[in-house]
Amino acid sequence: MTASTVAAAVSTPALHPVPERNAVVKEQIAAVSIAIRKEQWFFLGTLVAFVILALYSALSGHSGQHGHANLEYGTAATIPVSLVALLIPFGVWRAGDRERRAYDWVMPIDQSTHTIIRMLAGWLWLMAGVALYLIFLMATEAVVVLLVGGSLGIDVPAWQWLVPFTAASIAYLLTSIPIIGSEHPWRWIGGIIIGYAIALLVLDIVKLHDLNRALQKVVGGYYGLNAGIFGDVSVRPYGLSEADPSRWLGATALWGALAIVGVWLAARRHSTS
Amino acid sequence: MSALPSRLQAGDLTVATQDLTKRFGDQTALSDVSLQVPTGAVYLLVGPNGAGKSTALKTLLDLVRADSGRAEVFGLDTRSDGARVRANVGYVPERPDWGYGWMRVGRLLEHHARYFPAWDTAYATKLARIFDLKLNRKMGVLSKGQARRVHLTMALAHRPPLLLLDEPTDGLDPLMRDETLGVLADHLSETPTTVLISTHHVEEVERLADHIGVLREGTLRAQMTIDALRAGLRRYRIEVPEGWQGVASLNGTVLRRATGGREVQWIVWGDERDVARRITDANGIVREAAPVSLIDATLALLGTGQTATAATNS
Repeated sequence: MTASTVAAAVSTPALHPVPERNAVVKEQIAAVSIAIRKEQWFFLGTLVAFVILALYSALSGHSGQHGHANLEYGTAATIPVSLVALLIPFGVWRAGDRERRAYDWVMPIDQSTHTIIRMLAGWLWLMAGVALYLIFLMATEAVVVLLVGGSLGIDVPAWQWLVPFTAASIAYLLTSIPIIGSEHPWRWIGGIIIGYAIALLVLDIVKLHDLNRALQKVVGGYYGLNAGIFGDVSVRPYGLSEADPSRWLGATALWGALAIVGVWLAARRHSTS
Repeated sequence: MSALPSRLQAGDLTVATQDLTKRFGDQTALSDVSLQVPTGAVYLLVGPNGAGKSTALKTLLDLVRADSGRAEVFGLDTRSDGARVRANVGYVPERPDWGYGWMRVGRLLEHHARYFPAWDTAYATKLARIFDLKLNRKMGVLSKGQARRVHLTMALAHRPPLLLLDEPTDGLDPLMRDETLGVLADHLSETPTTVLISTHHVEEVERLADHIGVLREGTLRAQMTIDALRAGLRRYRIEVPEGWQGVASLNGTVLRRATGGREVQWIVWGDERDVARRITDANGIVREAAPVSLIDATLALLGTGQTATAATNS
């Protein structure tokens, strides 16, 4: 029997439709919210603890701010959300190993598209978390200034408010790559970190200092990973720290593009397992 | 009628694969498998563990992609039209931990419903009641049997034209197994459905089935209607003279043989009158040619390695 006769012999009854894309997106946003419920509570708890600690510190004068709290928003505020962003994909993809995750792949939607939708649903929650974090941060600092006096430095350039969002996004996408595409994400994450450290050590031992410095720039360079995922976008002219928008833009474009390509490739791997 | 049939003479098929081959490393899971599941049939795909049954089902859902060959469901290519195929399939997987372990059963059913526009909420509620689902419990803490019942509800409630059931009664206690098979029978009577059941517990689903395919070591040894199986397979009790050499040209396939003194027992696939005549011509006396139960037939089919047109007494 040839391929064409196989096709001719197969019957086509009235078929059920596939779901609408919007319905899937809405459902994934809701489902991911349940998947990361523990992380949400932990995040909220941490924020509340931070508020309490900040207020206690201001009121008791332990911070030395009594009477003159000069609080200024800076891109260093990105670090906590980036740390959360690095871990949140493990919550989004809580279902376990790839075989068990086959539940997602049985759904009547293209498997790669479904993976991307779920990943984006997690990203939306992350962005909401970052926004909430910034609101808490500013509200707390405003209350502290009200209580103890001083000034609130929020008149920073608008782009600096975007840094936590872009950095958290890149961190989230980068961690998502091995989780989506591999059965053993921790091996990849651990392997890359350990491999990087060993490479630096070996290059140092064999005195290939130029290569060692070049490799260090991958993380700490002008457009390095630190700039991309931790918002370390300051430059230090004459010893003063100043955030540099071109560094932020460059690092965001570079690491963002790499992360998006990585996620796309990992998601495609799903449908050919 | 000497060789075991591996192709059906059916015109209207819901599932048709052609020469599917899938290897995992150096292990061949499927080797040139050409399944044919007629529309409206309840097709038993039987075989021992590791025979390739689950891989065959996963290929139909595009969960696994074959190295070569092709698969069509409802006339749709499972690779290029996977989403449309899956919209019309109710699947019960072999693994009990399939699904979101962190989600409560009730919420998982809602989640599943959002993906299947044809979801029948009233029917899902009825199934949940029959299967005694604990809607407030998380999937991850359910026993194997409880999880299986959730999976069955998910598979049936959108009344798909095709059910792919991978060991559907695995993990169920005898009472629930009976209940489940009753639900399946009712479902089939109410909803026009084609069913492909993968199992190695033939006796449990025997009453539902009308077609059978036998898979072993990735190769489809035979596929036919159960009526054809019952008609073509016989257990022959033969009284033989001392030093009997067997039948030189049996024109049938001996699937199983047992010898006890002057009597031999063969399970033979072939035309009964022709086989009996040839045995008689070879100086054997056919004492009985009895039908074989489905479970014995399956065991015999699983045991066969190749077609044997000559049968010796060994």
